[in-house]
Amino acid sequence: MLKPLLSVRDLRVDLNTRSGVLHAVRGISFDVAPGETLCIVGESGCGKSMTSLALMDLLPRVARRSADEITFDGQDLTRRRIAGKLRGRRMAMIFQEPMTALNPAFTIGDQMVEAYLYHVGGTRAQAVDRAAQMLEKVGIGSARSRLGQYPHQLSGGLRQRVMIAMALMTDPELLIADEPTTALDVTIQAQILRLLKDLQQELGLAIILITHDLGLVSRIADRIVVMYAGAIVEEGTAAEIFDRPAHPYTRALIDCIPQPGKTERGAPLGTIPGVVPLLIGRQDGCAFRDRCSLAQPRCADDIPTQDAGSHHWVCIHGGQA
Amino acid sequence: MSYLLETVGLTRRFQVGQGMFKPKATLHALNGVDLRLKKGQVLGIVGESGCGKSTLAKILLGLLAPSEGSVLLDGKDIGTIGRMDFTRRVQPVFQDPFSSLNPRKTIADIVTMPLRVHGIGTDAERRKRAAGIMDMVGLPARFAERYPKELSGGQRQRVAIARALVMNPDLIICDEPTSALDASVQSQILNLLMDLKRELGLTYVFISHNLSVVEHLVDQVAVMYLGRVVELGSTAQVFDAPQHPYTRALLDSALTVAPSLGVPDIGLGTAFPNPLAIPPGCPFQPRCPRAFDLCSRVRPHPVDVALGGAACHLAEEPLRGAA
Repeated sequence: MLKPLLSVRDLRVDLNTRSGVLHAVRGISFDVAPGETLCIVGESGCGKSMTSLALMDLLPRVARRSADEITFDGQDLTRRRIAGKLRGRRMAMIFQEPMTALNPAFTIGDQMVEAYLYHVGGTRAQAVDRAAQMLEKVGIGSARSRLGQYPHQLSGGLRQRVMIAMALMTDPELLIADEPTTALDVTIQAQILRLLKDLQQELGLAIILITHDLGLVSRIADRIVVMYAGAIVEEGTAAEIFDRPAHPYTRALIDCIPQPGKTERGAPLGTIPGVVPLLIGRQDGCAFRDRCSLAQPRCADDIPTQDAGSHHWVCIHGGQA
Repeated sequence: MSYLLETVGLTRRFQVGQGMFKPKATLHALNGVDLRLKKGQVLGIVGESGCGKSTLAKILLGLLAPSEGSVLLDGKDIGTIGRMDFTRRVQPVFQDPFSSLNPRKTIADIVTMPLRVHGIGTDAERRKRAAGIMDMVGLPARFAERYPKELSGGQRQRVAIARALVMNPDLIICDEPTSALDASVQSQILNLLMDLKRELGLTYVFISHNLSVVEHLVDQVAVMYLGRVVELGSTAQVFDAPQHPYTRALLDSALTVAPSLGVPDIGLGTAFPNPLAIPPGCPFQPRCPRAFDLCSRVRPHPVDVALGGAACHLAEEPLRGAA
């Protein structure tokens, strides 16, 4: 692998709640190489969004972040001054619902220009030129006149394009996208993802894409991190995760979704019994063991990570056990 | 009459304000929709937002009156069936189990509500019936005295299903019933819906944007575009051999698990369909990768509800296409 652009070691996010400290992210480590698409996939409450917010220093007030290491291009992101210079400039983020991420009271031009002037500087005219250029790049025609429009005048797909254009204003090297297409129609989703892929090739952008949609992940990821109950349970390339899933949770999750051509129409779908464990307090052993068909007494002990090249999983069972 | 549900020329218009001094515009949310559904079958409705799916759901539930056309339940216009009789036979399951349940009522209150409204049984009998239904949908009896906020999304959707089933209806209108749920919860709810259909002989209209789910669950599919049915057929016909370019684009854009396929290039362009300015000729023509001169002038024949097929010049027989 190339020298990583982003390195995360033992990232933890704790939330203070009325019932105690909730460990939303429980010591995860991963790298993102330049130009690579890393997908973080998991179900609600697995910690995937907390992970992305932790990277961008956007955690809610009740949350505490700690990590052995978070470095971006060798610079220490846990130091506020350094993070302040990198965030929004060399690393940018887009969110699920562009209507809530865009300010309804300002034109999209104003919002695109503001961020650019803050992070990069230059004159307003230069920033406006840049904004128009970026809108064209994301496939929005008559860009100059669009700059004067307000978010509510745009369709959902166009708003998400504007969000992407805005995020790319400062020519970042890393884009973090949290469920960027979940609110969109399938046709618009395909177009937005195609656009992200094309821009990635053109600009050499690394992307961290956070989603619950396994189908989407299978199409776009170079590497995949599967999270469960705040921890990474499996990591590998798209082919490794979908052709040879090793962790019982990954396998169960893939079996839950109807796969045209593979799942017989109308046949019962796979299910995962039980519910996600409480994230309050300590968790010993495998967090999935209460729902796992392969669980054994020793699953309550420390679970070793198994390695097969680029493919890792945290489970006592072998690949096809 | 062999159809449980039939719509004939269903049309719904809305008057939409365009601003303070501009005249109101007419939005055709539905335009001549003909559908038929036999008892025990599942009809899937797919299409992008703005295609009229949700308006159709509201009309089928009697929550909105059509501007023209009619909905027939067992051959009788639902306008002539009393509201109480109608709701005994047709019940909804909506997308968001967080907003469709009253947060101040216990689960038992929510599930027995339809029975109370209809004055069926004594309090004890209603409780007994609710307990039976809750058991059927996989809700533990101890949930009866809990409140919706104490339940997970999947459990709440089970409550919504229990509430729909408590009246022993014939037809359930499911409007995006699993869109708000995680994959592992979605599969449980889909399995439950399939089991209930088999056990109780239910009939579903299943509205969803998730094409894999629709393909898995339904017997027939109607593909809608800007208020019209553009393709209609059995699941095998529509998913295995789509005829309308729009259906093809929809199927191509569905991101099924297939690491080798990558992100599709569906070639629809960035034009977004505007229900306020439906183009002449074929409504899909501005986005259609296979459009030719006829498409911008002549509107394709609507889908024949008895035969199925696609409302597309390319799918029409040469003789009909020349008309």
